[in-house]
Amino acid sequence: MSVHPYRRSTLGRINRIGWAFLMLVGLALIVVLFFIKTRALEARAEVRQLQRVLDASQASVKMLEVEIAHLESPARIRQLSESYLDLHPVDAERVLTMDEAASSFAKEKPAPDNSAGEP
Amino acid sequence: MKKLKDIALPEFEQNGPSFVTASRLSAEDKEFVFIRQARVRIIMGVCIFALVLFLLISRLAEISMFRTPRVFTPMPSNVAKYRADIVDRNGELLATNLDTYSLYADPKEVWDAVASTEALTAAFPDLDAAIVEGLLNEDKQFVWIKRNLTPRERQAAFALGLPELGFRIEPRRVYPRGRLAAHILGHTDRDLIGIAGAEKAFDAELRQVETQVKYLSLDMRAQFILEDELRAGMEKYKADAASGIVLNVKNGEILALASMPDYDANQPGAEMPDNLLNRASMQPYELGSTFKPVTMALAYETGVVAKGEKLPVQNKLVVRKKSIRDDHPSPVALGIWDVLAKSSNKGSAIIALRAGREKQEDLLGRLGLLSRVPFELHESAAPILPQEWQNLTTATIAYGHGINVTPLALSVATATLLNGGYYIEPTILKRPEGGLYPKRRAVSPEISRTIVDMMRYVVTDGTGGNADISGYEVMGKTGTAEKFIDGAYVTNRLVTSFSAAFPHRDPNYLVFIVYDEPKAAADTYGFAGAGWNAARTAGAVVERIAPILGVSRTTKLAEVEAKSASIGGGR
Repeated sequence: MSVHPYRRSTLGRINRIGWAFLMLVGLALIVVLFFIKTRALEARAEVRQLQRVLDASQASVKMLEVEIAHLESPARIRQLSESYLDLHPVDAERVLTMDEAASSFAKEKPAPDNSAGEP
Repeated sequence: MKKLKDIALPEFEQNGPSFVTASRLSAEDKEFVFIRQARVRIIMGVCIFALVLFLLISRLAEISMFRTPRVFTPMPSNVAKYRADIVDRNGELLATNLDTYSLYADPKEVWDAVASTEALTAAFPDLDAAIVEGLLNEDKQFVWIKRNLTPRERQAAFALGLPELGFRIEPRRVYPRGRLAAHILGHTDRDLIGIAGAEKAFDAELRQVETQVKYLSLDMRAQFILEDELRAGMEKYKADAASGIVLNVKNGEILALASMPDYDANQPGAEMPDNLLNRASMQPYELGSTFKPVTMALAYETGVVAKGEKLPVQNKLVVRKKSIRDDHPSPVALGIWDVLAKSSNKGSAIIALRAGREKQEDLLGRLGLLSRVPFELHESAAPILPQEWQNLTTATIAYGHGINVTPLALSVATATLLNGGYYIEPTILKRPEGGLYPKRRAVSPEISRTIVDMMRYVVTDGTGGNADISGYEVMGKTGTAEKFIDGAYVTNRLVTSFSAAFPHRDPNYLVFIVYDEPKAAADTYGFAGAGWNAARTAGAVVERIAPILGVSRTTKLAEVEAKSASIGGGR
């Protein structure tokens, strides 16, 4: 029986196929990892973008709060009320408690008119 | 030709080992040689390919698994420095951060420094051309051109289109109420480090992310009213300076504290340095007769005035060859209540001399008048005490001369006399209702109640009449002190003060007003004493803040109606 001088042994063939398979698996894993990593980066970029939007919104909210505080400043309101409404700080004598106001209205309640129906 | 080595040929192995020389076979086996050479080349090629593939895979693996790609950040300082907001007791915003853009340049990128300077100074006229050109010629990669730009300024910088310019976001501390409570709030430097007021006092806490917001004890409305009245008073009485405090006598909360002239905390550098001084807690004064309630407490505590006794204030009083005089001389002897109501220096001096130095010093110490006020701000000055405490010193301190204390210190001492006798450390922080806070007994409740009644008597029958606001039962005491300049008291340079408290039935709030060198006004009949200026201002403040603070009036309805009818429905 003649044997080809360059014939590879079965074990060698299995070895080579095994290595090739392992390399393929490794390559496939790396490609999968690469895609996962890419997706992760995209997700991170999206999170960063959302964070930027959030920061911008927070900055806008802060700006609005400052504007509100400025618009509500007592000095500004005083100036506006004096300019447009002619309102001034009230004198102490004109301050009534609710009880005092209620008793005041009670006093103004008209007395029953007994003359009704008389000629 | 290269000599070939002898090799064994497997095809002859069946017939036993037999060797032939390569030279004999070279002619007919040239093909075999070529094949062998080709095989070597293939193996080398495969090796190189495998190496390259290995390198690629390794690099791919490294990038995929281990390396995080760098994020392009054109503005590396985008991460804002944190500093918590400051709000008043009702949550009204007093200080916060806003992100602003700052302009920088990279001098390495400058093509023509002169042209860039011209463009920049045209866009920002406040920039100095020589300084800008110097910056653009520096051997650096980063120089600030202008920080904290307004949106309009940023757009102007954009429009220049200079490649060497860039922006960075920087947080800026903003005080949306402007000058309101500037001395309490203080301010920060450009790097958001607190350098004055509450910003400095709570700097570390405000920089912690856990601190969402810092509540102060201030009431923005009371603060505004106090500042408004002080500003009006300063203008009316042509005073050099003024200060005022609104204090809750029951828990030590400072509801308002103002010092005039004031400043805009957004631009502290644009103000005169003098304006930054918090006179309410940093400027010790000889405050004069507003010290007398302390002397009255001394009288009751030591029992040096017998019940019903009249003090001989009509007589001349000389202590260590110095004559003590009264601004409102009485022709007759006065009881202790009238000594306070008529603000008799002689009467107060007699009481202090009878009590003696030790007891006077002891009481002053218990009322916190011999040391700096222990509150959060660093701006709290120590009193200026007499170097030698002689009889004359004891006598003058009785009516507020010879000892310099801050308005805040005397406010806290007076609050102690009115709140049942507890010295309560003041605070600019909101104290929880029912919470514990540092306090200690300084005088007895009986003495406190007596002083409350005496100070009400000062307003109803004494020098404090101008502070009497109908229905709010204001108590008070005037103080007019001559300034001590170049070794002598100057009669026409005064410090006037008034401590007002209300309501008499249950003292809750104290208003302390000080004017530095006020002048007579058109409606003061040539007088510049405390009763004509500080008392009026204190009354005006009480009238405006009492409804806000929820203090109800005691005026009867009929009284209101009568008053309304008489003024014909005026304002």
